[in-house]
Amino acid sequence: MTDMAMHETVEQLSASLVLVEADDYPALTRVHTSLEEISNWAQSGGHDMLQSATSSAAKLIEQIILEECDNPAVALDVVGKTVTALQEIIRDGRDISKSLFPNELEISGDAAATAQPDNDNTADAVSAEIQAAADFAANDTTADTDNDVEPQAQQQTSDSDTEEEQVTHPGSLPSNIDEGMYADFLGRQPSVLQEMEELVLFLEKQDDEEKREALMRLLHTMKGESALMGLDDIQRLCHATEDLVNTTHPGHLVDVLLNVKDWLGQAFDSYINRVASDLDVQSMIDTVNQASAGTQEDSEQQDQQICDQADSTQQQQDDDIATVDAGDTIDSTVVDSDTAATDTADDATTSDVADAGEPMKLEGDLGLVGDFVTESKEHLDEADIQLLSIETDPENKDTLNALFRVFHTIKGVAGFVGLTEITSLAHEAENLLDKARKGEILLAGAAIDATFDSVDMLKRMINMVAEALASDGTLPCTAGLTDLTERIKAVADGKEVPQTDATPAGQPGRKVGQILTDAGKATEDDVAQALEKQQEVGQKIGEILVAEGKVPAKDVAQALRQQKQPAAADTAAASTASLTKQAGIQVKEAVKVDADRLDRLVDAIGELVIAESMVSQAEEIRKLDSTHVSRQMSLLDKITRELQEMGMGLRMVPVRQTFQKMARLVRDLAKKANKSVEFVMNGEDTELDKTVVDKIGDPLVHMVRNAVDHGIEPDKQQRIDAGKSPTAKVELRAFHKEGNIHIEIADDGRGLNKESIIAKAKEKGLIREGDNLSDRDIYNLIFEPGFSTAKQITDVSGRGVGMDVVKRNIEALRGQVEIRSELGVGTTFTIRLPLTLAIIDGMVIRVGSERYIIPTLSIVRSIRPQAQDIASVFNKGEMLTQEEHLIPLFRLANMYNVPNAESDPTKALVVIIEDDGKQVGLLADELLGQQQIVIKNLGETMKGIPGLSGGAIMPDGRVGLILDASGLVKLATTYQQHTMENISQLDSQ
Amino acid sequence: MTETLESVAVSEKTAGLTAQAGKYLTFELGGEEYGLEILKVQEIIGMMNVTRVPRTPSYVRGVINLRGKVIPVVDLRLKFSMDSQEDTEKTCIIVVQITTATSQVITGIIVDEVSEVLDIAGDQIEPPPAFGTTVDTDFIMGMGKIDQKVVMLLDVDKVLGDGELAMVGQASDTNNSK
Repeated sequence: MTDMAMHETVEQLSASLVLVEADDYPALTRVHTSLEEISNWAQSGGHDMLQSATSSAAKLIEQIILEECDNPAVALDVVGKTVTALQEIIRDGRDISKSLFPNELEISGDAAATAQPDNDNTADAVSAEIQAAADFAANDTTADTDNDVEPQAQQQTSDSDTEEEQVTHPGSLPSNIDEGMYADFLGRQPSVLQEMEELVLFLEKQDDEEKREALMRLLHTMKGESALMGLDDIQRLCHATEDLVNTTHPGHLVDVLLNVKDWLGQAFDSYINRVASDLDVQSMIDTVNQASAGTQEDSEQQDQQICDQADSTQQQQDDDIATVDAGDTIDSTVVDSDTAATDTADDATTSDVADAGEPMKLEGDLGLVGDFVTESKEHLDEADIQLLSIETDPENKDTLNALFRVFHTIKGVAGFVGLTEITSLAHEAENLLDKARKGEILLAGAAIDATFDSVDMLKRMINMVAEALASDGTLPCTAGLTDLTERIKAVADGKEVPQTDATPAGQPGRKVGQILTDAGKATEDDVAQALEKQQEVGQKIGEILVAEGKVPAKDVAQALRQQKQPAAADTAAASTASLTKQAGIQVKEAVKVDADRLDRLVDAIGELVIAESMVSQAEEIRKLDSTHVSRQMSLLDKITRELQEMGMGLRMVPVRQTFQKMARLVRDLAKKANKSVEFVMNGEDTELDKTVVDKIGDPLVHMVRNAVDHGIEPDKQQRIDAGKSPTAKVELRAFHKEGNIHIEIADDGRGLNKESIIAKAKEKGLIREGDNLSDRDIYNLIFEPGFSTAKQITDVSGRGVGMDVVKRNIEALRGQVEIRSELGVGTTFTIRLPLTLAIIDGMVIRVGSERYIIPTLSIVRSIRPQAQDIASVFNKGEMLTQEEHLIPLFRLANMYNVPNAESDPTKALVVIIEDDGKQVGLLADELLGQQQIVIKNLGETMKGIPGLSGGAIMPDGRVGLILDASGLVKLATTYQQHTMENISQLDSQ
Repeated sequence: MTETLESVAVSEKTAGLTAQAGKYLTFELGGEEYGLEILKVQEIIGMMNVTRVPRTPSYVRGVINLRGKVIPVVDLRLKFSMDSQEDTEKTCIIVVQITTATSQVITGIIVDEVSEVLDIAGDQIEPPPAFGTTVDTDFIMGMGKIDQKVVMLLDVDKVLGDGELAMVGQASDTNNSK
């Protein structure tokens, strides 16, 4: 037997071990044979340790077959670990020779040997020893070779609980790990994964040695750190992936790598939330290995994957039963069904297993729960609307997806805040909808009834949560929940009888075949899809177990906060840290600061700036005429400005992360829609206030989705016919312009059809026959609420789905959306966002006795007009002739009722401002000078005053009002009539 | 025991009243005495330069710079439709915290003169008299009777609460021009 053959055997063995059942004798026999083969090979090669480990493992299998083993599940797990350890050794590319790790070999070898003879005692004794061997082998891939003997000895003497702690699958807590370090590690991972995705997507497009190395380093670092944290599964996966990337160019592995990234994301999520989950690392590793083996379609492996999937579905099934049958604490993982294990698991999560039937106490961050309640109510209202339209059109993908998202969001958030019942119900409904949107079932009749009921039930439950929040926080149990979940499940499986009745929780083994036919066969034709689905299913299990594990919501909330909070500096630190090899163990110099404190600091700095300028411009100081004082003053000025810049920088983060998510979204969407789309990003380093970046993600998703789904022609041929390249292009840009941040989403698709929009708007009664609408007015119609929900929307190229939401979200950020489109050429959405707490350059003007500030960026020029430049139109409006252009002239004094202003333009100044291509002249008395100003909010009560964007503290301590060009232009046009009346009044005076 | 009886009597008497016994900051406005719950008052500052904000109701005097924060200032005389009066040395701005449906807002109110802080007992408070439709008593929580004086206890949340200042636009503009 050659080394290569041996490697193959090990790989096959590990794959089949994942699936093997204790009562599946043929499979067990195969495993036994393989183990014996390896054992023989090891003996012939002189690898004592391997030989004894494998032969004792073989012995264990033998016992299982002969039904001598008390606890076949544990035994199987032990064998599995042994094989995993073997895999580690092989993958690490080392020669399996004794000389490499002498200490462990002897100990493990001896241990195995002593355990071997006449082994009729329980499997546990052997398991502990083999486990020890396996652990050592695993550790060896990262740890130093001259390990001390003692810890190993300890492990051997300890009981099987130790083993339990060694097993890490997502959700279980690694032992002996420093809490802070662990949290720190997990906190960093989201950004590391983000970076990974970024690298992978980059490499898909072009090869770059540097990026490739960065990816390798990233994987390597993660491997090392996770091993250090005791996260065995992550470490193994990283290791396999690293190998893969080493041999094959990552550009060809995008799908696999993205899958790995997703899996890791889910796994880290489970770790962060400290919930048990059943993410199956082995199948993921298998996928990776399969990819490295040249993506050959080995039929056996294909089968295995389907089985894998069935297996996880099976586990999920068990979980569901556990949910229903909540009195029992069923640990549904195949590994540990003995009580000791369950105890350990319980201890690890430090939770009391409360019956689902009993009132539950709301814990943790109640503010979070409150947010959840408000959000969910909105979502459910939306769901109602979607459901209504589904009834008439049950196969509408968009509506189904929207509905799916509703439940998915509720499920996710409810999981975070620890609302068990809501999570499980939303989960069931989500399953049902998932099948519906995959076309496996039709959402009609019983199915849609069940969905409606779920929405109602969720509403009731959320109301109860709201009430509980308002009172003492005790959540009563919900009547009829079990029935409903049963019904949804039955409907989802297309059955009449609820399944749980037929399946006693204690006998999970019986169900495998059945589930296999339900889920396995349906996806047999597409392995990749099966894998994806499996992950999906796996995640759901995890979330159900959040509930089952009864993790205190407080812990979850804390983890959540940690995850959410990293400020700009933190993210930056994390990304650099991930590039340095040993970053994991070092405690990095980042302090997490409460956002409120940060705001207060920034406010205080703002006040300092004002105070400084008040002092430096004070009459008394100026009178001093001392070089010493003026030098000190300029130093003070410099420091203050630096401080101000730093303060502003604290809250600013680049939009990169949000953009990166869009890259992934475009890719996935394009693949799903079978379109070829090139995604281009520009200006992803543009910085925005953190809160703005967080909130811009949602609208962006909608717009990008629209661009790919509807903007781009469904058929390549259409594009070719139109003389465009078959590959469509979606571009996402961010840049500064006119003191705002602009974010643009441009596609080169078919563009908006004005005629259809007008027709639709007329039908909806939004506009009247004969209304004279500009292009912009027409396009803006798609932002009208409800404009999109009707199905005729397909005629209007589909845009408008969720567009009213987009607009509302952006307006909440004091931004604006704008559409430019050309039929057949493409569409561009422009989002304009103000910089919160921006410092702007402002021109101070005097009008009568008042001062106003105009942002310098919107000023085109200011002139003193000649009498012949002014023309009056219909005696209603005035125009200013300027370089062949006619510019409407407005009098600020009239618009704002300023007394004592100069009314003769030839004696005053005209400041020409520009907004969005429109130029307008404003009559002012005098320019007082230019200065830097900090924009201050005028406060809740004063917002929405047309033409004013805020206030600023002037050097004399008074408040100056900042004019907003676009608002002024709007105001000027809207109130033209009114203004003119005022003029005539003034004239008559 | 007597205490309990007394408090019962008081609570019966004050039933239907929103004003509660406690400390009130009293101030003068057009020769009348008004009171504000002391807990609503943040500080009292002397009259300072106010920047007029266009397109706001006439009773909104404008905004001031309160140590770096921009806060609106309301002329209570105009708010209560009294004749306006030139500011004097005694004219003050009382900075109050208003609770609206959505948030807490800090606002300044301009009054003729700040008087004192009074401790008003529950039995000194009576419900606001009904004047029919001629006088809107919505803003008044109750009437405090102290040494022959009558103090109108204002519900400042109602006076300046929800949307009162947001009444911007053309309507107010026409008010101004009249």
